[in-house]
Amino acid sequence: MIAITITIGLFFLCNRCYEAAGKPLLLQPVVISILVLCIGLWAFGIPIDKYDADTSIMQQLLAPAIIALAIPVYQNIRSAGRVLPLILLGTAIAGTVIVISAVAFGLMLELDSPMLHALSTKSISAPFAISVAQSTQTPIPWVVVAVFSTGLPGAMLAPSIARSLGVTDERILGLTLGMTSHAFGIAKATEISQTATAFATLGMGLMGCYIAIFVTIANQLTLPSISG
Amino acid sequence: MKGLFILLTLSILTEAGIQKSGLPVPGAIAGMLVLLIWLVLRKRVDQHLADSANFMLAHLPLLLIPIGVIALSQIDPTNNALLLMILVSALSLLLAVVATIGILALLFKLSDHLQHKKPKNKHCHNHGQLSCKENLS
Repeated sequence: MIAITITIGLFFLCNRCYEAAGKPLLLQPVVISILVLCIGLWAFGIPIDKYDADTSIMQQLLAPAIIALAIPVYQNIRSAGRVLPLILLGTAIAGTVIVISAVAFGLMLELDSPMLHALSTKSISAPFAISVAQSTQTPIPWVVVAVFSTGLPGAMLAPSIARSLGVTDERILGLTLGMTSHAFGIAKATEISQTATAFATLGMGLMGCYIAIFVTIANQLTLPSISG
Repeated sequence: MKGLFILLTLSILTEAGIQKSGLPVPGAIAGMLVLLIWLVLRKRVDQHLADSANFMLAHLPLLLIPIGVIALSQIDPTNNALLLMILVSALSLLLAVVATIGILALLFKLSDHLQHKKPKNKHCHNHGQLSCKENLS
């Protein structure tokens, strides 16, 4: 009970600091809370297994929370209107490019199989990526590193890249933020406009579903052969 | 409470269904797709379900903290492979952002192009050249 209380208390404290500082991406409450808790556990000599057992109820609630994402995705599907088929097609093409390019870069640098698996889900939200990792036996630490090291810089860079490519359509910018930088992208989209936020939420949900299914199937067909 | 009960029941049922059927989809994602299809068919979201979903989603980052802490504590920061993986992440991120913007911009442009052309062509096809000219004027 103490572990859950401290985790919740720290998260709300980090949230208050994040809002007071003007919501800078680098001070994302979830990132800061994880770092502070890691340092705290190490400093007080608390075994990670004990923290794991004490917070297991929070980890179990992740699955129903992913299912709950169907509601904002449905609401934004309705607002997408006639461009929905394009978004679905764009999700499938971009998702395939994202997964294949990440694994190809990893193969070029001779990364081992667990890392290749982790890279394949780096562009989807952590709950989706963890859900895939659990069903493909990928080490969760690598998945978390891949997801966070993509989301944070992606959300910071995507608006500048869009500007330099001459793209000003907020629907495209929102979708790109959600599809490549998941929850960090949505946080960035809220600073742009309501349209960008709605499309970022839709992009994150659709890309999460597409890559989760694509990677799980591809994992059964091809990725095990990478490890030889 | 009813909404939370539906989400938890759906989570248990889809997880059990996936394990039994051996389908290559994570249980939670299957649950999300089942709920999404159900909402699309019903064409509405009940208030109790929306309230429970909003509550859960508002606290989703909080649920990720224990998993993040456990993951980070298992990582060896002196591992060179970790730096390589972050490098690959950054390289492929740039490609992912450019490719996604390019693909979406192309599809949206193509759709606008077809939308502009479609009514004119349809009109000409149905009513002949005269109607087409009328439409343009």
